[in-house]
Amino acid sequence: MLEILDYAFMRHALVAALLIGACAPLVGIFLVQRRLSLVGDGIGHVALAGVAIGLLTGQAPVLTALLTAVLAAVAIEIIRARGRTGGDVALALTFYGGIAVGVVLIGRSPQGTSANLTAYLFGSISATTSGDLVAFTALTAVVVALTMALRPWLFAVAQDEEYARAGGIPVLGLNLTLSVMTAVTVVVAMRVVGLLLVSALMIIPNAAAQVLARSFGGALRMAVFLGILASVGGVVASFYAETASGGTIVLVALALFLLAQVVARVRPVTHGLHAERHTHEHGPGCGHPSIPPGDHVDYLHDGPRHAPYDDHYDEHALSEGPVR
Amino acid sequence: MTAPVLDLRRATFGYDGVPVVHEVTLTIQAGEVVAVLGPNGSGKSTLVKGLLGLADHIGGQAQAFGQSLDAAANRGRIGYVPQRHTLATSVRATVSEIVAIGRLRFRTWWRPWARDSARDRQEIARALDLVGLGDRAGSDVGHLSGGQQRRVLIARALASAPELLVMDEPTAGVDQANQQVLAAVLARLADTGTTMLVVTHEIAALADVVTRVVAVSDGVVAFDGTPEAYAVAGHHDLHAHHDHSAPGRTTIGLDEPALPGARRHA
Repeated sequence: MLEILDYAFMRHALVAALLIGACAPLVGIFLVQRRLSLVGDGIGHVALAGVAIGLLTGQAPVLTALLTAVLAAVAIEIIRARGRTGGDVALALTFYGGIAVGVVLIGRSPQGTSANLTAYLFGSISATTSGDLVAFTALTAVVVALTMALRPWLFAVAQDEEYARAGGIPVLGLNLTLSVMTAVTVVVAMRVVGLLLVSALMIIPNAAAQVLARSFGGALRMAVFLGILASVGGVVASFYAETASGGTIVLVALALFLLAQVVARVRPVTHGLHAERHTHEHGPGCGHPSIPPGDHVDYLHDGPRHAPYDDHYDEHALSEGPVR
Repeated sequence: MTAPVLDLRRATFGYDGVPVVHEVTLTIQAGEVVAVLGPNGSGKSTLVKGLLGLADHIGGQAQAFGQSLDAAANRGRIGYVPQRHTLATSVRATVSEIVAIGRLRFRTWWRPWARDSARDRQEIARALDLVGLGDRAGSDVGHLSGGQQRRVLIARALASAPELLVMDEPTAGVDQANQQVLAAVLARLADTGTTMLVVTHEIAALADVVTRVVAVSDGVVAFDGTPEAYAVAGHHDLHAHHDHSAPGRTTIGLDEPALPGARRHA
């Protein structure tokens, strides 16, 4: 029935997809929160130079890519933390330098075919070896465990770095850890998604989850679910449609993002959550008690008075106890 | 006799080795509510950032709770309410998720199962009740008004059970109604004996809460005394914009459940 599972390469690809689908959004949410959505893309560029070094020296490309990506991640975080003007340009130089070195060196290596280069850049369902899988599983386990353990601190630093520093939280250490975990995720995603599309799987499931969820914890769980759905679904689709797996995965993720937008617009907002969204314009007959303070009318619901003002509602201090 | 909460002797703070506030001598005892006044660029923000380890301690002596200010053990004992106009980032977060950040000083990352203990939840609820946001724990912070977001910042600091609460411009940029609510929150905290250092450039809104005024000008302390002495010295008319006869003033009192959403404790 499931002929897809008859092929060893497909079993490998599906397991790799499962790992990356869970890992990428988990790390990605903190990158989105810190407005560093594109940093994974940059690390992917540099990892290509690592792949090239592996191909030229006969070492495992996954190992050399991992070392190069981790070094780049540490360098990026240090450049960022120093906050000098020109840091932005320094990052750009690193990223383009990385991909240029990668393309040139891969071309000079014995296995340097353009098919091989395309597989590294955009992913391929036939590329994951069983040796890769062992390494990917171990790396993913470390990243997931570390992210879960450090989650409140990563959240605190990304939310308000100054407050975190004042509270004695080791901000630089946590940022370096996040950066290194991003590099590891890039390498785990390299086979199936490809180095140029890796970042999409860190960002798009989070973008979709932000539309649907109401809390950080909820958005995180939703993003992991959507990430797994996109990566596994994308690998299956690419098998039947005979398309590049990386591109297919990203297209599935984008489709999920659009679906989330539709669901968020169609879904009725229950009144219990009215503090977040109003289901109606307050007006005579909406059912909420009103207090005329003089020149305008305020409406009472759940404590603070809400006065319609252009596109938002002002919260007024109540001159009496909350009315229930 | 216990050590003062804060003890600065000719302390100098600045950035990258360049002094901004010079030779500040200041002792604060438990229970005091000190307003640090001064125009923009006077160095008052650098002073409080120095206390929090966010600006460099360049010279002189600085102690908190009888230990060096730079001692790691002091980190977290000073609660911080930064001057921020919004809490919203590019990801969603609920009010209680933000306030939970204040509890991190009591948590250890190598014991993730010990998280979100009953104690943590209780302290988060208590902090939210104190600022009158007890019913907003599950709301997205991005959907709160500016004044409510300020109160979330205060609750986050309160959740860390600080021995000194440092606030940077808590009333700046909020409308007058919300200024009154914030002043009532501060009055409520003062009532519970919280030691506070409040940076502001307009004392009128907080005139009833403050027990002492420290004015900073051109990087040095220019005045240190009671609010009354400060007014007499002609620096500022304390009650210029503070009309006690205005309707509504008395209703934002301490004994009335006047804060929006405040839960009444039995």
